[in-house]
Amino acid sequence: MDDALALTVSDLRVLGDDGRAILTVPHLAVPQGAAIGIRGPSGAGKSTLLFALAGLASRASGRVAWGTTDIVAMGEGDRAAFRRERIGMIFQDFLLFEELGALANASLAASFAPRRRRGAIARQAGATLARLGLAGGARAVASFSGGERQRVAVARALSTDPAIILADEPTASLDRETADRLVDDLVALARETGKTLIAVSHDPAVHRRMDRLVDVVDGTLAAEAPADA
Amino acid sequence: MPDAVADLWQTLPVMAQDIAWFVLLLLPALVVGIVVLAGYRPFALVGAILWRFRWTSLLFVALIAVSVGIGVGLIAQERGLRQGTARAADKFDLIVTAPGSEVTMMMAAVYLQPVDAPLLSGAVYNEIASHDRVSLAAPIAFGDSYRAAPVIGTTADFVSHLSGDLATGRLFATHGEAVIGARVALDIGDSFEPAHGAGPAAEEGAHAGAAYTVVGRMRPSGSPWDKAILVPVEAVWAVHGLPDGHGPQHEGALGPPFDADYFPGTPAILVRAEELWANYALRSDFTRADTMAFFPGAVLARLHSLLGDVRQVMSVMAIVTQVLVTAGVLAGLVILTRLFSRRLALLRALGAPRRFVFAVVWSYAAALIGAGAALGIGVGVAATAIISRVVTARTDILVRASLDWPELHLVAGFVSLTVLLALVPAFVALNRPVAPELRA
Amino acid sequence: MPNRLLRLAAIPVLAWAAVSFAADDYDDHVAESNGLRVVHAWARATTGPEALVFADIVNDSGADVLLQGGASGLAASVELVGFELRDGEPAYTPLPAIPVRNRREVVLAPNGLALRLNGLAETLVEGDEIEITIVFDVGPVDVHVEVGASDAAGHSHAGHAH
Repeated sequence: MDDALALTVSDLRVLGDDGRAILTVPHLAVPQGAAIGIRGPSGAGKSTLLFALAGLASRASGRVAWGTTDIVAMGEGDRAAFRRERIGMIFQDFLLFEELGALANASLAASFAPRRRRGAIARQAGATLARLGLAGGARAVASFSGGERQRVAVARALSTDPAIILADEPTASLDRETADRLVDDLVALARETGKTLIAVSHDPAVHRRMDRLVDVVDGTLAAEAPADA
Repeated sequence: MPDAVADLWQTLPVMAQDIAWFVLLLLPALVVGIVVLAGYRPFALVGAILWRFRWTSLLFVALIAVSVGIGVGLIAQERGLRQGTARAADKFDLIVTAPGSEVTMMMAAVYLQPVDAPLLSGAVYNEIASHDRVSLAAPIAFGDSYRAAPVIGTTADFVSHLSGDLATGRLFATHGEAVIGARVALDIGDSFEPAHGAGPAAEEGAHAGAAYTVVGRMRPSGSPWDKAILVPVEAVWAVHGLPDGHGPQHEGALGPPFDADYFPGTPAILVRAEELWANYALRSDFTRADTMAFFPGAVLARLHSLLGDVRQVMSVMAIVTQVLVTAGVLAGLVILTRLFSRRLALLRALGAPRRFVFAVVWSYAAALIGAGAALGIGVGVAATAIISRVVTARTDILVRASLDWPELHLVAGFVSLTVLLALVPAFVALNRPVAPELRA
Repeated sequence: MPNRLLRLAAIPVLAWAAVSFAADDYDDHVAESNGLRVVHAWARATTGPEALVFADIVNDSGADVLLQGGASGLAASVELVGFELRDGEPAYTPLPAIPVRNRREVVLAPNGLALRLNGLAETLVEGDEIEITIVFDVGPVDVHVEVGASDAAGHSHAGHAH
């Protein structure tokens, strides 16, 4: 597997609104196709790290390179374009459009993608939904259970066939059984297609399925730990 | 080049000019829409947002619709009044009266508003009637009434002029016969006794013993004449104890020619020439010390231009209202976008370009404006229809509600202006940081 | 309305002024030929290719004459028109010649008779003075036409005794 989109972070500093550093990452390297868990106490800066990796941190310095692409150095439009093409994101509370159906949510990216990609996005969204056991009907997702919603969110993240999946507490809103199933599905989908998966989570069930774990404590990325710790 | 454009413009038929104006006024909205939306398909999202905030959206649409409706209604109502009053005066080419106020005499002779007016003599009547360009000269002798209906003394020719063929029955042929307007509450064969004067001051019983029998009914004209009762002018004179316009040797037939010595007078004479130009010649001939000749159409046009001035002032207020309401709605929209700012932040996280998020918010605003404007046309027309019905009931002048280009131009201009204003909340929505919104 | 009252009040003063000072001005307000006098010809400032010319025409020629139309170097054609309300909308309809009886006056005024200049070469601007010829069966009369405001209701000197 080539490492075209391997992650290299060095000297990353993210500043808060008051100008103080809320996150410092001296070094982090993730080969392409790896599954990495980020853990740490609440408020330690785990989500901040994830958003910085996605190019969503507004005040960051240092280097966050996906392959040769340093996302910190890019302008906002280029970062959005990079996310559009390379990254799928999953959130704790799903962030679906409640009024739309499963397929409409999962293929949301088609509404702003170039015309030639729209068909592929819708097909991929439908296929992932089917794989996850959801029919793509028009029923609004407002009536879906938490597990169903997160599976729609997973299908949305994978609809553009991104090389990178960033998940922020993907199981925190789910019951145990649902959470386990979701994590199994997510990791399986990522591994099958060689996607890099980086998941912020305090859920040991998530940690167990990762290749390795990194800890964020008090706004600093601490030493790496093996996956089962 | 501008000259060439102006020349081309002048060669267009009116309809094409109206359509061109409409398109031109709507063009800014279309261009903005095309530029903002190019390459995107935000409609499902916009639909989702509309549905999520359906009650607020409905309120916004209703506010815009009412303010647009006021503007549309004003224009349509003014035109309806103009056309209605003009149609009601259509049969009255030229009126000759004693010198006085043209407006007062028009109100009396055309719209049958009671007034005390000096009389024209038989000599004047005969001079008019025998003029070589006059095809119809009919006395309009107002003053009596029956219940709410004015009783007008005139000639059978005038009845034919007003109504063409009668709806039912026949023209009056003797003193005791009457032809009624389309909406008079009498039937053929009914008899009635007229009162002297009209309204509360009418003297019932002043003409005791003088009864008319209804022999015919006119077709509806959409004018106060639908509520009028037409009788031979000779009968009106006779009822008042005056000579009946014909000398002692006269026998039989009603109507002209009249004998000037036995002609008690008439407050107004309707004059009709076969051609427009002859009316001008006649007006010139009968504008002199003892007579006044005027075109009700020209008097109406003066009143209409006053009405137009009032409408213009009110239109300015209506436009200001529209813009204020829309500005209010757009300010509300800025607040509303905070409620879906997480979803907008999500779009950014998924890699949507800024312009796409902009397009979503703008499309939402544009949808509210578009729906409000379309509904506003309906509100305006409905309001005009109701007001027109009330006016028609009160004045007997048939006023119709209609939708025409000026209103559509107003609405097109409104849509263009406010859709441009809607760029502002879309900009505001963009300037919110993404990451904080995404945290649970 | 106050404007009109002021004008009424001004008549005696202006009449005197007209007599004493306006001798050279007189020519511009009154045109006379063959016993036909055209007084206070005026038009409104325009933006389009048409304009209406109004005036008072007094016939002291000793016989009835026919007002036929006109001509002007500024316009493609000049025709006599008459006002009508057509479905509530004001409109001016071309007319054939109309008679002006001896010792009588025909008034060309808004909402009445007018001479319409069609196909104007240039727009009329307030303060301009244009020349047209009014054509009668007994011959033409050259007239100076004063251009008033686009919403003018009459000649600026209307009410003067000329």
